[in-house]
Amino acid sequence: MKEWFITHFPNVVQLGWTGDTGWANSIVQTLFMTFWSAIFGGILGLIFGIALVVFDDNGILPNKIIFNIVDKIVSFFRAIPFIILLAFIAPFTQFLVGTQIGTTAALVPLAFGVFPFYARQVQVALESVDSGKIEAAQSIGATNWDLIFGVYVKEARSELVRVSTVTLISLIGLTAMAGAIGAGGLGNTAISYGYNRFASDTTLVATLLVVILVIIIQLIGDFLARKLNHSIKK
Amino acid sequence: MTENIIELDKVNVKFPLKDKTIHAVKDVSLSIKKGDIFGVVGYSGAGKSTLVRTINLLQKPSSGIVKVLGKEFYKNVDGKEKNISVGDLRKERRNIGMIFQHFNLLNERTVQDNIAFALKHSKLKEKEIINKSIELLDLVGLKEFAKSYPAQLSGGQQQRVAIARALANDPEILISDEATSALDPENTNQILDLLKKINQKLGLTVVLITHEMDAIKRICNNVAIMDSGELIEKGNIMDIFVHSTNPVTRKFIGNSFDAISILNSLNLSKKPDAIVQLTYTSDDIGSPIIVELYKQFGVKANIIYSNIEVLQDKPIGTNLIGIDGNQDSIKKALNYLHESNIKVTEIKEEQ
Ligand SMILES: Nc1ncnc2c1ncn2[C@@H]1O[C@H](COP(=O)(O)OP(=O)(O)O)[C@@H](O)[C@H]1O
Ligand SMILES: [Mg+2]
Repeated sequence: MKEWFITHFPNVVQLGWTGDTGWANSIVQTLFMTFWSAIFGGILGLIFGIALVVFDDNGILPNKIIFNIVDKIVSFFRAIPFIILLAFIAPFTQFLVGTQIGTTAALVPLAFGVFPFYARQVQVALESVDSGKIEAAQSIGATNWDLIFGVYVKEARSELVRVSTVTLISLIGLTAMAGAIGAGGLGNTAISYGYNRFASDTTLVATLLVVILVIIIQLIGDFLARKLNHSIKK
Repeated sequence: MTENIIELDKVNVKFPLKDKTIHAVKDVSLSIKKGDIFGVVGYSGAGKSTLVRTINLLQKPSSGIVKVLGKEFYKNVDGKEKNISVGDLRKERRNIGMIFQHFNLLNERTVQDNIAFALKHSKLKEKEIINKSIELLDLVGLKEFAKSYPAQLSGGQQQRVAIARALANDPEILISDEATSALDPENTNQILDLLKKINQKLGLTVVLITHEMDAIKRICNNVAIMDSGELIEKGNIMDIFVHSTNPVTRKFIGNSFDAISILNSLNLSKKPDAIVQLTYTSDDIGSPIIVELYKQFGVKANIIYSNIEVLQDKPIGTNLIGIDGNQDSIKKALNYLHESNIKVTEIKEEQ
């Protein structure tokens, strides 16, 4: 088995497990980037998504000015292709983390790349909450805070898990591109050590690892979404 | 005199849309007494929901005065708007429960937590909130479903939970907006009876919006009829049912009290000399009228049509009686009838 692997996947073996170019390192880098940019981009996206619903004309605090500002910011960042955003946002990254390259530096463009996408998804998820439920809560004297977290977010939680899963998966796609600014990760391994060196076995293994990661996230997401949904009889 | 718990004065609601303005409520004035079960009936789109939503300011009026529980919630009579503060409104709303056509329960909370959610800002401790939620579920007969989720309940059961939630803060007013319209007849009657029970047990004032006259007949004391944003008639349910001549009102009431349309549908071959409509409750009937009419005045009375309706558990009879005899005797007979307790309407047919 080991023999067979060494013969058929020589480049994979050559990269090794440990070390700067090792598999452990690139897996950890991908997970690190995905996790932290999901946290930052997720919080940002959640805030913007909630704002889009709350300040909407049909929202609980209609405000055209705030809505338009939030809406334009989201649309602006959404319109920038990620590979361009990497360059565009570099000065800001420099200001924030003191460097423009490396895994940590990649978190800034990743968070900004993913948050508008997530904000739109959160907006749609929250808007799916029946306005009658909001009205009923208002009629029992609920505060705006109650309405946002006690009704909108809580009622849409299963849908929020579903869109978070989708976002997380597309975020993994973005981390692959972050290799362009030296962030490492599985995407970088597939391109730099695989494709560019004609080492197709490395590309194959890196791809498989990404696919496995995506499937795991999808399975956990589906499970949670189902578990958190009580709006259908079961 | 009992006090008015809800007072609307010349309330208008306009919805400005892109190309036109919808005037959903037009100059409506309405007083509802404490302890009343007040019905608002009208076709879909008449403005009923918009009107009652001004009571707890879920809908802000365009002008008029909204006074609830003796406090002025909204006033605009001279172009200057005065609103109750947001914080005060929130507190006052806890005195005004509301239930809806589609129940509007929170699906991701258990039945018990739906009620507890309404008690979040009460002074009760966590343990007391749980106890009170269970108590309220007991009142609506659903104690054993405390840990269920709303989706696991039938429509009628969900509406009961919604009622329990609406009652959580011991409100003085309960607004029911088409609360039975999504239910089958049996559940409809059960919910209506529950509202009546709450009205009697807790002294709650109920405002019942519906497009079904049967719901009004079952539990309301007073009724207002709305059409195209206007309140076209209001009053004691019995008076409206028996005496209203308004065509829209009559359409809602149906024909059982309407002499002219009954006569038309009967298509009599020989017309009696006089026709009277007698309307009475069971308390009113003392003597055998038809026999008396013959004995005292020598006129022959003949029942053309007879019907019993039930208004708030009270049977109300309607009889159309044809009277044959000479002019003079008929006149005396009619006088006799007018002096009795029975409501008498002489029918003069045009056709
Ligand atoms: N938020 C709104 N915006 C615009 N028009 C509305 C709104 N709410 C109600 N309307 C209109 O006002 C009228 C009365 O509606 P409603 O009060 O719901 O009637 P009802 O409850 O008697 O069926 C309808 O023509 C309806 O389309
Ligand atoms: Mg309505």
